[in-house]
Amino acid sequence: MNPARRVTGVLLALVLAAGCQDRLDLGSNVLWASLFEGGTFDEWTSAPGGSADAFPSGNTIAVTDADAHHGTHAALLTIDAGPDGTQANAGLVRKGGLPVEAYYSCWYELPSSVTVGAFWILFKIRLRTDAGDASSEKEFYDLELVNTPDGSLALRLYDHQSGLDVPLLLSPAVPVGSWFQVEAFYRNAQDDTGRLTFWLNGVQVVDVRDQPMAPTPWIEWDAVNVGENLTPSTAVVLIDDCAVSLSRVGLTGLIAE
Amino acid sequence: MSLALLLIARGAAMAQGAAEPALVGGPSGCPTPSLVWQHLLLLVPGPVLVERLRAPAGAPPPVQLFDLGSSFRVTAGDRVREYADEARDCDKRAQFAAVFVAVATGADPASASPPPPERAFAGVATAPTEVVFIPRVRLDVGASVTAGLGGGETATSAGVSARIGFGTRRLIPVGSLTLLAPLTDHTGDVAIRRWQATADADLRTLAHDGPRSVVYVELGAALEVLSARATNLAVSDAQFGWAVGPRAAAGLIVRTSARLSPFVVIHGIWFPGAPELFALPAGDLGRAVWNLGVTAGASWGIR
Repeated sequence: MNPARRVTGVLLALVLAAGCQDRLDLGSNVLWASLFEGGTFDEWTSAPGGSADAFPSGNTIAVTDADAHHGTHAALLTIDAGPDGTQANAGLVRKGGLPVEAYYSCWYELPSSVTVGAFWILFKIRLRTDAGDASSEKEFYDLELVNTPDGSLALRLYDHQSGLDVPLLLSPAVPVGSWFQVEAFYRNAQDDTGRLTFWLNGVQVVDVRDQPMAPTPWIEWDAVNVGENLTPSTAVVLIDDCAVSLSRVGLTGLIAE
Repeated sequence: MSLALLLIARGAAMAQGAAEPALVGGPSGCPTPSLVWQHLLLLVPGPVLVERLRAPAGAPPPVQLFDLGSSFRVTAGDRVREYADEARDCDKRAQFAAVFVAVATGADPASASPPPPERAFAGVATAPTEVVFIPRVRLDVGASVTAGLGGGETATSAGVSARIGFGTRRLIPVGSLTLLAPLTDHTGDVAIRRWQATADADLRTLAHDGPRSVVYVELGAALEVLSARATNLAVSDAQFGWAVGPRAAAGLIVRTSARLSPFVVIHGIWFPGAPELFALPAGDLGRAVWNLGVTAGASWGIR
């Protein structure tokens, strides 16, 4: 065979045999994630300081396959928050063992709208005044839902330490009947570099910055359905695809392969 | 007879000796510039040579001679010839150099007197065979800059490349290896430390073979090996990947009188199966489907 043809044949074979690797997995900034695809709360309860609880009785937390953001399962948090002044709680909790600086993300769905009489909370940051003393835990920031004059729902950030609402940069409507993402960046610094930023569906809605945060580096993060005096009293929140990440997840980020 | 002619020519050379140092030079000892000048005067009248080879004041002689041992090289202006002569017959070398210079300068050897032109050229039949220098092996070594394009952000790297081509046929096989220096770039929020090497095998053909330059094109296939490691992720591992694809290139070699010639080559490689870079939570960080680059350096022709 002509040497040139032989070489051409070899080159052609190489190109045709162009094998490849589909993907080089470089690593991850996702420190922890919860997809609920196992049908349990193990992702929360097996993490240090993690739990999934509803109280008092009448409030429930379960994994459902009726709806999901991705996959087939999500957490279904149902509370009965009547006008009796009792706080109803269903929540997924991560206490301690969290980095001083991280992004916290969950996807939520509200099957139906609710009229908020007292408060309705979806996302909480809590603190300890003594990192080693569980009895020193206190409320810090609550991301809540409030009704707007037109009847739709909007966000509210309440600072328990100051007893004031934090002014929002924007106040977009919170969708009902579709999944939306709440993501926070929390740098729990005890000096002026502290920062708490929230995004709703990728849009920054509040930015607390350049100020000390909690008195200790200890952090509690809760994805919850907590309310009081809601109408109707039964309020349902679906939660899915939660993550703690060192970089922003955003709307398109992947938290697991 | 030849000796007699040479003696006559020497007489003429003495008469026009002042022109020799300015017109014929070079470090060659076999043949010497002086001997070539004497043979040249047998072919072309001195005033014609002075007119045709005139050089600016202070410029080196337009005719340069180089003794390469088993061969010698003659340059006349921008024309170059190399002659093989294992026997090192300095007188015959001088004859050939003189004929080449006479032809190269466009002087009419027939105008010389004496000797008749057929005497001067009669030596061609018995002299060493003229060999136009065509390297059997060409080794190109240079600096490369490449850009990986497609899907993600462009990653530009610099490195070194060595390329070797074999043969003197119309189509010759060539192969190369390019090593790119480690590079850290950002794709989205992810800092990626990359290292890359490319090997290719091609066929080269000349598109233009002129007195001053050679232009060639190459078609073949390339293999890319890639190492990538994220440097700002909580959890990361170095990953290795590879891809194969067709390659096309076009190059230019500038002819010089020396064995080393400058060259430049541009290439494009298509890696349809280039591995996708992936990280959490960013997801797909893109894949470098196209590899475009340029290499410049020195090309060494080896007999």
